[in-house]
Amino acid sequence: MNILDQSALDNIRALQRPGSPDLLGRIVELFLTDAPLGVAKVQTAIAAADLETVSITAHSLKSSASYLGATAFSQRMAGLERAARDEDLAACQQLNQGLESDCQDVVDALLQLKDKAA
Amino acid sequence: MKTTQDTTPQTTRSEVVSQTKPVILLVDDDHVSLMMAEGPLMDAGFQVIQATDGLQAIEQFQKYSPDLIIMDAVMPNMDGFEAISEIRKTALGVHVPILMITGLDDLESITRAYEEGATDFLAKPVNFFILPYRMQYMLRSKETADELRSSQARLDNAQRIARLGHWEWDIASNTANWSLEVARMFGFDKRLLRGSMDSLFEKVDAQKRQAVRLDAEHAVQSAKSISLEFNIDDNRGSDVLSVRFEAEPKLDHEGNCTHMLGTIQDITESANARKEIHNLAYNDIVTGLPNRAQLRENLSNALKLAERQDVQFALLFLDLDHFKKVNDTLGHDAGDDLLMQVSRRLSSVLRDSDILSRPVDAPEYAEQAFNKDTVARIGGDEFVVLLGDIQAPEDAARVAQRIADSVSEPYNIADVEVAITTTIGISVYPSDGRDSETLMKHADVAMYHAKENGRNGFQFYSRAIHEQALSRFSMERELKLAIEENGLSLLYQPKLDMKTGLTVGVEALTRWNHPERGEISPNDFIPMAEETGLILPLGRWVLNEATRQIQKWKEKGLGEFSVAVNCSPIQFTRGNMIGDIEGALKQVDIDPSLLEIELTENLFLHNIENGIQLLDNMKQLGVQIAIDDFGTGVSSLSYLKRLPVDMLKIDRTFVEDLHRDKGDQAIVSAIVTLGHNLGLSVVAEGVEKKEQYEILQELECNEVQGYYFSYPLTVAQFEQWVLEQKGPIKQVG
Repeated sequence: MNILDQSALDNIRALQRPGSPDLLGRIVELFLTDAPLGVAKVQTAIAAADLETVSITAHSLKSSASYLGATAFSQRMAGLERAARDEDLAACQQLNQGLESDCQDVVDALLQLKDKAA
Repeated sequence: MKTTQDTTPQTTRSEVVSQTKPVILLVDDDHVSLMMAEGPLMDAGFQVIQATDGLQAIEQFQKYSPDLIIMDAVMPNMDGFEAISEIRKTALGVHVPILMITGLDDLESITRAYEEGATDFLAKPVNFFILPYRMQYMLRSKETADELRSSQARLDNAQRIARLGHWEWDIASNTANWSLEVARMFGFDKRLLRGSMDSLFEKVDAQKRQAVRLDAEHAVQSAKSISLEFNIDDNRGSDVLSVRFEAEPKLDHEGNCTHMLGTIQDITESANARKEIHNLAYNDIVTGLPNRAQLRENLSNALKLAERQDVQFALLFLDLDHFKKVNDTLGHDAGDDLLMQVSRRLSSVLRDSDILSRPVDAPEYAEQAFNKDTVARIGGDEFVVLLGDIQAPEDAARVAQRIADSVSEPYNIADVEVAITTTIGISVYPSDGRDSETLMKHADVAMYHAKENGRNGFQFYSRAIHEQALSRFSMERELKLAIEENGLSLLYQPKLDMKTGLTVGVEALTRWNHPERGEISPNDFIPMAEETGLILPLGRWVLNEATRQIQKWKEKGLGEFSVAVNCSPIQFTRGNMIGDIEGALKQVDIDPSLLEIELTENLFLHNIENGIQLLDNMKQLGVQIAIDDFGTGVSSLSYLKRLPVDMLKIDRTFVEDLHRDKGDQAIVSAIVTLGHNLGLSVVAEGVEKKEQYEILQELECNEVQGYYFSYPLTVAQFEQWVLEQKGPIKQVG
């Protein structure tokens, strides 16, 4: 299965306005910076049992990821958001396993995409 | 997520925002969403401003007052719900359309979004291609709403300026809605412009409320337009509003009235102006009395009324004797002051005269009669009094005399005592004229005759009327004198016990022996006494005299005889009957039950409860009570058992033909049975024949009275009668 859903990427490409800076490129850049930071923030918050931070951070990452077509990552974030809102720390800890590698997969795929475009 | 680019514009709206392009405030903490949404919106012709949390959104909103807002629900710092709620609280934010972005299937968020004031919602993931269309639609409906609001505001303003409100009444649900101006006029909450039609009607002044309600309902039923004017009963303590209420029906295809549409216009100012104009046109400025124009109108109304009801009325024309002298010596201000004081006295005489000179069967009559009367100043020192309804010319004479007496009382004008008299000419409808002009002319002529005969008096136009009125009028004065100076006497007609044949009491009958005219019948002077109010002192005199006589007979050792006294309803309605009886009993030492008060059923005609109360009070004084002329009144039998009476006196008309009319026998028999069953004693009066007496005996009537036994007797005759009789019944005469 593809890490990135091509149709989501096509959607973004379709939103590109002629004469404007490359939208997909800018979104990819943004995600490459924000996603690892966000993941780190989620992990620290889980360790500190700060579920509110987990919920709000996961919510935002979920949305970005889904627009980029990073379906698995987005679904994991959705799960985290729900578990955090339900104050289920154990579920959060379980979803935390494999989070970093999930994120890494998306980052790798995005870097590949960037290379292709370059 | 950290911001990687500064989206907060540092400039003001006029610099950043195009004057023609609509501005959207895009709020989302997810920068990817922001970046994806921006392009399509700009392509669609929007100017986009961004914010990444609720706090920033409020800041941006206040700075740029955008036309539309797209708001993410879940954000750090301040979420979208709270931001919407804050924005809605601001003046500019009340109506701005807000599209809320919520999670998919997040029903709770959607509900909350609407609760906080979101205009619409969109679930994530957002389709950014469709978003601009959605926003254009929102913009269009916003513009329509703005237009509607501004046209509503224009309408409200127009209505406020015109003091005109509109309303609509839904007949089926009996609910109504109304405009702001209606709410203002009626003192309703301006935020709630609907309610029941009745809540409008409830504010109509009490006098007209029922009529307005009925008119409106009638308009609905008959599907007709109406136009009414009334005052709003204002409970806000400010001035009363006069309004014009117009309504027309809205019909369904079957022609039934489903709605009434209408307007209400505040016409207080024009109504006040109208009143003012009327005052200026119809009232004398110096005295405030009606002027000639008003008199003419009232006179013409009086003519119409008199013609229709076939009654008389009188016109009194008067001026002040030597008024010019006051003006010349004391100045015009003093003259005006005098006119004012005179006018007050005239009004007051008229008010008081009415109560005394009019028949008093119905208490409301006096009020009505007063409304028919007019005192007008028609120029200089000339006044006209219209007595709208008189029984006889002497009523006018009486009022004229009171006016002459009242006007001639001294005045204090600027600390100077001023004396003045008036001369009065009187014309009477219909005998002195059947139109305004003739009546006025004849009253004027009569006044000049009166002046020739010496001032300070009155004169009727017609000599015959003058003499007749004067003769009646002087009779009144003589009756007054007779009452005051013991010119009356009582005759006593014996009442016999049917079983023993003994005299048990008498009925007292008033006689007036006039020094010149000889004996005057009670049939002549009692009605006059009732009309003039003289019945009150007369009634008192009779009570006092009757009780004194009981005492005298007792002291003489002749026996204890009850004395029945006839009382007029006027003594009960106008006088202090209880006080009078009490006073009469106090001056003597007798058994109070020897005093019998005879009254007629008509006393209970108007108010049975008052009547019962009165009788109870009388019973507490220990007197006996008899119902006179029983059987002829309009009484209902049902009240009889509630009345604390002791005796029924069968009306003489039933006794008259008793011996030859089976019907009368049946009635008398019924009355006796009824009386006995109620524990009352039954008396028959007007017994003239042996046969009548025998039938009454057979029917077990308790007491009898009449010429068959005795005529009314003087004190001496009665005493003789008792001494002679003291045994079985004997026929006299």
